[in-house]
Amino acid sequence: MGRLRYFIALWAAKLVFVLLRLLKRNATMYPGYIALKICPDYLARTRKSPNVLCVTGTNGKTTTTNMVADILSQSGMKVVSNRYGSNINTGVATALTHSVSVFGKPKIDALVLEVDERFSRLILPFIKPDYLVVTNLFRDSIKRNAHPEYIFSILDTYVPESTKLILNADCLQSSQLLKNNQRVYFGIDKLDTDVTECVNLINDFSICPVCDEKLKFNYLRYHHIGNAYCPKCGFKSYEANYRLTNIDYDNKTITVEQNGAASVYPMINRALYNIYNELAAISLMSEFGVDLEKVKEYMRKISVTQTRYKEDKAGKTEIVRTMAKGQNSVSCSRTLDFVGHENGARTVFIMIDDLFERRDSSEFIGWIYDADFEFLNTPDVKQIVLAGPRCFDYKLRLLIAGIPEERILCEEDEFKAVDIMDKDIDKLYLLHDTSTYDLACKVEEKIKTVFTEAYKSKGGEQ
Amino acid sequence: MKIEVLYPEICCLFGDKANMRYFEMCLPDAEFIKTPVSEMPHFLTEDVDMVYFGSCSESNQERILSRLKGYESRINELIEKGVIFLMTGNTFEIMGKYIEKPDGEKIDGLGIFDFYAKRTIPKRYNSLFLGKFGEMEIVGYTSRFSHCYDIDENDSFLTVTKGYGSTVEARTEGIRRNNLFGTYLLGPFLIQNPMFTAFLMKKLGCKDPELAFKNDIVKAYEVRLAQFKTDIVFAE
Repeated sequence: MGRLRYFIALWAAKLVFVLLRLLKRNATMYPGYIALKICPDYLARTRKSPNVLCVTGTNGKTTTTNMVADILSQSGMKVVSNRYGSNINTGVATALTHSVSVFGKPKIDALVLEVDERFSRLILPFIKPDYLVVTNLFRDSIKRNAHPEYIFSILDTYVPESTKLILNADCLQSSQLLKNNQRVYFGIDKLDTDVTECVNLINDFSICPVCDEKLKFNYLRYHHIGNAYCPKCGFKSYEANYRLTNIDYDNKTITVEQNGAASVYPMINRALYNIYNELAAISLMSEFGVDLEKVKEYMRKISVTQTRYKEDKAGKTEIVRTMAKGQNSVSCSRTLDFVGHENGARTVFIMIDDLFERRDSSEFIGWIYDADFEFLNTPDVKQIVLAGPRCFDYKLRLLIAGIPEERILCEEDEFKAVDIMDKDIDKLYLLHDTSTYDLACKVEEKIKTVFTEAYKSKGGEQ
Repeated sequence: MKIEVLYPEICCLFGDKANMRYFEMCLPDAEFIKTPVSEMPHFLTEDVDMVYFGSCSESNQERILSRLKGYESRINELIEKGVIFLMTGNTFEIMGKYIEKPDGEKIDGLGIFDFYAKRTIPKRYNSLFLGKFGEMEIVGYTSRFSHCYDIDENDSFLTVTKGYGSTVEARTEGIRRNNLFGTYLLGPFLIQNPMFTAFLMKKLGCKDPELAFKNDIVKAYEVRLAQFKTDIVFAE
């Protein structure tokens, strides 16, 4: 009976997918939803492809998953990934549907899945990944993810014992996961920019988990990312098996050392959080047995998806559109750190209100007091445009960060903000949330039009 | 004026840290003592005017209890003396008789109040809040894995206009005795409620409290208050 139910679910999911595609609808979640409705143990019953590789963690999942899927596809493997779809159980069920034939037989070489860390309890025990990358564990949405300890406890309980872990040695939180599983660690050696005392507003791993003593850091990168030890009981960070030993920003390369042998890879993106994602992908590919010389070649053809990061130009102004996930203080801080430490006179346009919550409710904005807006308090940031219904909260936040009021422009309407902002600037960073991506693209178009016209009116040529 | 911020390295979830950061801006002459979890609280051995605890994880709530057990009579003494205690998020639960875990295990609280807390993990409760403290309108947000039961009406802090109280259905929210204020509202509670912040400053002896960034903080409060009075979704 269970087997029959499974096949009905599989066929229904495949049929729904075809119908949705005919209607030109996004078919990344609903087929899986139908499958799970008909057959609640659909994930467990679906025969798995020979290789199942998963990526979870708070930040960097999508970028890392996409890199891994791209590398394996370029290597000639048949790959199914949920890269354009949902990372919860329904999205994974949709991906599994694509991975098997109508007879339920695996038809691909590798399944590469991004897995939501909170939903992992409904996914990982059933698909039993061969490899699991945990990029990091940080604070995320208070409503969904509560706090990092809660997410840690989910992963620590539900990741199968047979799964080999690829963990971030520099993340004090996630590196402590599942001590009985096979594992390797990746990490970045001490950088010139590292410190020994936290400069961020939050560090969720500042005391020793064994004896409560304040941890000391050999180096601290951001938040709880670094290399620490307890001066009282001897607790310390794990050693990395895959060590990033050099970042060459001029030549856009990174050097990764494993077992004493160093290899140079192209740098896909210069933001440090994306370098971590690349290192995670390289470590997984190495463990999976892909020829690393080939990985270098494949990496040259990869870029960070344009929904996350895009560079363009309007008149004399260079425009960078980049994601700063709202309600995720650490992800947002990483982007603020990146933007704050770029060179040259610049404007920062912030539109990170949660679009869904603002439709019929009101967003909890406590998270903005965990996010390091202080990074924008630099004279090179000439203007900060705060756009959206919560702009008054953001203005207060910036004032508390010590940013002079004359540098702040506060406007509830995003498009009107474009009209009234300063146009004479070399570089503009447009920060948006996942939910405001489509809106940000429209605002970006208006920025390009308005800035180009302003430039031309001053006698400039595009 | 001496204000003790207890265990800021663990009582700091959800933006709660901003409360004392903002308070420092309002009270530039006050002494703020930040006591880490590895040290004994200053209020045990010296006079302080105010003690603040922010939100923490469930395991850290138990860690705090293990630190404060045995000092119940001193805490009671300070409450009776009128020392201000402000507890945001789930930390006020430690003041009750016990905290019950989902498996039924009970963790002894400090027993200063007669209520008890019950955890609901993994069920999380999220709600906007609109309520009153006297005539003062209070806005905020709660997000939690627990509720508190059997809070005596005389011991409650806020009345609920919209949103969750100490339980989903309760029409009162949090605890109060003398100058102890405990609320499930979390994050930048003092920043979101400038009138209450001014009230606390008066309690601390400021005759004419001067709020930092007064115009902007009041504007943000008024925008939020007006929105909360409309027909928006308060809880899922």
